[in-house]
Amino acid sequence: MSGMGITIAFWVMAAAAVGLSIAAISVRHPLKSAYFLVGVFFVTAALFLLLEARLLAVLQVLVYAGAIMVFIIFVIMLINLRPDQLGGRRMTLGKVIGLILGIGVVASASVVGYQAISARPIPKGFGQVEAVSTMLYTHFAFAFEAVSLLLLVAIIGAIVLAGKKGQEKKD
Amino acid sequence: MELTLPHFELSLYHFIGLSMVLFVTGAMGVLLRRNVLIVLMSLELMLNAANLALVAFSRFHAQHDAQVAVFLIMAVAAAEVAIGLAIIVKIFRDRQVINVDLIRGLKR
Repeated sequence: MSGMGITIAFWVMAAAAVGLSIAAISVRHPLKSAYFLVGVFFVTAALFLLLEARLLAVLQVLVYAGAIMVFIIFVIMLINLRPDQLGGRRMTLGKVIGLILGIGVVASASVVGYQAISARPIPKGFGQVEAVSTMLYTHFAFAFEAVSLLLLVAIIGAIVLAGKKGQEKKD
Repeated sequence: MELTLPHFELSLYHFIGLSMVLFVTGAMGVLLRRNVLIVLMSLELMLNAANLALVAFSRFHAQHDAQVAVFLIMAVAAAEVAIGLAIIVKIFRDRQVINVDLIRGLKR
């Protein structure tokens, strides 16, 4: 992890990620917030590429920026808030100060503990489909199956909670 | 942060620091905002920050375990968003509220 180009790329992406995430939590309308969050996820995918995690970079774009954010934006459209329902004031001065202080404390904590831990050399094919999936289907086979069960529960739960049946019951 | 780094080499701490800042930003979003959709998105931001830290650990130790953990966390995040949004839609349909301070039916 050396070289001036990579370092400059890191700082640019770090600034973009922090700026976009602060924008995402401070804008008033959830739809704009979702747009900024998509930006954060893309920048994170680029950071994953910088860290040689190619499979995860692709999955980050597909799953987070693709599936999850599309789902959230669909629900924002479905709920379709009127401007008066957005409620609340914008970020007040106290909230802004709290945000800056909180981030500052954490950033200074990471500066204080600084040690120049450099990266170990990586084997060929690191972070690519074959290496990660071999680990996934051998050491983590049980966790993989458990997650598939969790996703099934999530599907059924979402249908039960928001499906048509509940609407009929209400009427 | 740059003052402590006269030389151009990225270390693990750069990524951990970035991850911490993103995590705190997400936590602030959860604590400060009252719109339940933005609270949910801030939760996603926190998960994303944790993923970044895990991938950085994976790269700097040259091991794949953490990348598998990130894969599983993505699946859990997807499940969480599905359930969370279903609950939000249900609450909005029943009571037309989106403010987390007004959702307190379980308190009674």
